[in-house]
Amino acid sequence: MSLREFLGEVRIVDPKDVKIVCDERRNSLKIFIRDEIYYNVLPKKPFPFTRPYFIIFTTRRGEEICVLKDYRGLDKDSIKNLEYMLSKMYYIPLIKDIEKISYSSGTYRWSVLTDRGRREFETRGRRSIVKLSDGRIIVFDIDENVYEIRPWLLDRKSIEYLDLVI
Amino acid sequence: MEDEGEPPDNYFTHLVEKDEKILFWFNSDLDEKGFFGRSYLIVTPKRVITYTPSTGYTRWYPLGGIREVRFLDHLGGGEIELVLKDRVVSLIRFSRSKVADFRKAARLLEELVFREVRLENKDIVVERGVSYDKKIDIVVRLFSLLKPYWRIGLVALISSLIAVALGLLPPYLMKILIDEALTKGNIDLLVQLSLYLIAIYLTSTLLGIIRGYSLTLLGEKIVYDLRKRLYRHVQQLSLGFFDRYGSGRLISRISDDTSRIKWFLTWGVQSLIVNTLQTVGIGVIVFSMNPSLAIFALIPAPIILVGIRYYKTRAWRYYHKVWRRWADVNAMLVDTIPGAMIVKSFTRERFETERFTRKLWEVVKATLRTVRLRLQVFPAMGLATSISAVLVWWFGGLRVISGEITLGLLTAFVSYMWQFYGPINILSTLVEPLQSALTSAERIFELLDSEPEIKDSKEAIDLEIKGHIVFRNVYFGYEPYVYVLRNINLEIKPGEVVGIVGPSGSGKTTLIKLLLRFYDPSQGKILIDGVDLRKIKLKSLRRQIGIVQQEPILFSGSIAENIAYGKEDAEPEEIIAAAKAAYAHDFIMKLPAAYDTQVGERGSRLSGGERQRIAIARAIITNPKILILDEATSSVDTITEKQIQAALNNLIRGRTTIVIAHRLSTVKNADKIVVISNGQVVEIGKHEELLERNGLYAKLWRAQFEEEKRALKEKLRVI
Ligand SMILES: Nc1ncnc2c1ncn2[C@@H]1O[C@H](COP(=O)(O)OP(=O)(O)O)[C@@H](O)[C@H]1O
Ligand SMILES: [Mg+2]
Repeated sequence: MSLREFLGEVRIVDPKDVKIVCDERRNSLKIFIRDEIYYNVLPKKPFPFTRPYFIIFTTRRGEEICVLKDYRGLDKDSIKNLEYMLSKMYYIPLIKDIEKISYSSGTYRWSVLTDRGRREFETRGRRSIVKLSDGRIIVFDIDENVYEIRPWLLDRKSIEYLDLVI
Repeated sequence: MEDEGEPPDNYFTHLVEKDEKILFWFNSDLDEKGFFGRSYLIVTPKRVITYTPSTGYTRWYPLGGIREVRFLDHLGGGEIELVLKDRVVSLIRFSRSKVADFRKAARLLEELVFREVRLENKDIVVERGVSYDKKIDIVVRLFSLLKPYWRIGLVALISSLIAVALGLLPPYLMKILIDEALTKGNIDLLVQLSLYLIAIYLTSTLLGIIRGYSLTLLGEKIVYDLRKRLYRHVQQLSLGFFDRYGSGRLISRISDDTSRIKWFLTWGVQSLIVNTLQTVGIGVIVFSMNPSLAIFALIPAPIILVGIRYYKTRAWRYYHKVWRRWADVNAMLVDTIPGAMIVKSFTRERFETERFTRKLWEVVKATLRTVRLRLQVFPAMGLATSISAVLVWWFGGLRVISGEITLGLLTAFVSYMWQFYGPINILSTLVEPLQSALTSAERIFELLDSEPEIKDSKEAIDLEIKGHIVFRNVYFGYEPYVYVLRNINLEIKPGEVVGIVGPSGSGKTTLIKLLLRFYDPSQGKILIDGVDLRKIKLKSLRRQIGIVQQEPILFSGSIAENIAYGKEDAEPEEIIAAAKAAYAHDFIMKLPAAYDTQVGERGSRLSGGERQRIAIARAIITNPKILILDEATSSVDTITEKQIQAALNNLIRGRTTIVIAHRLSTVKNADKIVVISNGQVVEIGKHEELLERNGLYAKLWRAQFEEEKRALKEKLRVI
């Protein structure tokens, strides 16, 4: 089979045709695609860091329903409902301020302010920090928590601390 | 991560009714909206409650209404979901830091709801390491490590102290030399003082050598002792400890933490004492010589202190950055040079070259920054010291001219001043490493204090095993009440071949770990030839059980050493015989160095099938009474499997054998097949009986059969 045939298996839908509401009774989503309705749907991000707006919708059992290449084209309510679900499944607080980073025997200890509140965590090893090509930085702590940094939003002191680790 | 002060016992009482007992609770680090904070999951015999103190948010669900407890792994977090009669609700959210706790919470909740286990709160205490109340305790215990070598330590200390005292003398002698000998033309005194000075410098040098050697000797001996003790201790700990501790952490305790302690006990302490004494000594001398001049001498002190601090904080940063940039460059080399074929075949040479050039430039930038830093700090510090020296000459000179002080005193003064800043510099860098050494010590003592959970009881015996195995009502969980095995009843007669099958994660390997007594059952017992496992000496038990695992671990060394691992005194012909029985002899002989071939780290220079056969030979050579094959053939291709299968058949003959298999065809001919699902024995019987019964085994058999057929078809289509 050529790549084209496989591409046929990826059902890409136009955000204009899609409506999303919360499926309250199932702790999941309900989606309407033109005249189809799907219950108990979960959004998955195949590229959670590099293309965070790219979504694959699946059933609970993991069967794929369709693909949205950029969910920002949805209507406002749909975006809100989708993002509510996504914020649980992809919990990536954005670091807004680095208060301190200290180092001791191979471990960096961070004190930061995120959009989800204050947090302290530790990172270890060079692989815990990934620079994306658009300048954003993804940080994985020792417990596998994930944080995002947009250096252009940070003040000078934070940048100086960041410089310690990247 | 954050400080977890535990709430007092009555913290939740307002949430529950008067006689409603709290069975257990867990705290999350997220609130219900996903902000960092604190919320709780509380379980009583009737209900499960979630509670966020800061917002007062409270929800509860009766246990009776729960149909299913789902644990959801998310990116960067997790969630427990409850399936109720008519809906699914999100119970609580948490970050990854709390995943282990809440996975346990979900399991406990399940046990409670579906198996109605009676839980006691005391069984669910979250484990905490031993902690020392006082740093003093650690320090005292650290110094006790010096005890066996106190003589060497004393030599080092005394030689250092004498060296400090001697170091303070020359400027003073200088003063006499100038004032008494030179100005008064006293040649005898000049000669005498010169000889003294030579003697002092000679002694100092000698003492320096003695001190250096004795400290190194001391350090090496202590760390040798400590590592030996740690390693021996760790080897004796039970497998459960390794699970909890993690091998990475254990390795770093034995290698890194001990090094830090060595540094502390030798150079650290010594340097602290010597430099403090030296600073104080010079300070006292300088001030008693002439207080007003001493003030001038102290002018550069703040500048130097600030400068050193400034430099130290940044230097580490900048040098570390150079190191990281170098590591990037090296990582790229390690990827792309051996991967040259891939780079070329995708014609990415230019891309890689550009990437490499960019990384190289980063190294240059980072290096230049360290140079700039050095140029910022040191010249300034040097200048400050020189200027203050000039000031001392200047104002001291005025007093010499006016006859207030002598020229000798001024000279001595200046040379004391130059001596002053060395020790200050050293002292200012000592604090952090001293602290981290104490932390290391704490971790090491914690490790040394942990006791093996599984050890020989007093009445344990040596048993000549015949191979009759009985599991009687065995329950087991890696954590209390989270059972991985439930009510296992099983009898295996001597010489029988028993197959164990079941989905992955069903508890097959755990069963084996219990048989080897890596863990003790939570309830019930295991008997070998009628003797409780706990009454058999561990060494006697494990020596008579041979095990071949799915991914056998070989140690670095030669093939021969690996085969002989279980039998230290193996004769060469025994090694060859074992290899032949394992169908390994032929491939070994094809290697240029044959049995002396080094297998590489963890056997990395051999293929999977080759490693497997060596592991089989290793099991054969010990001549075990009971043989266990845990998915020994599932990671190799079918041709190799046939050979390995043949090797195994050699091995099985005349021994009690337990074969855990993924491919059911492997156990088809067993005397007895035990089907395990979800920690329970669901079926026992021969292949045909089980097929007839049409239960789980029959289902698995059909599924595998279908799959193999399909795989075959695919293969044909490709051809
Ligand atoms: N060291 C351990 N600590 C905690 N849980 C474990 C440990 N080893 C295995 N388990 C759990 O016990 C269950 C049974 O595992 P195992 O006996 O290895 O299954 P099998 O061999 O049948 O695939 C699994 O759910 C597994 O996650
Ligand atoms: Mg297993």
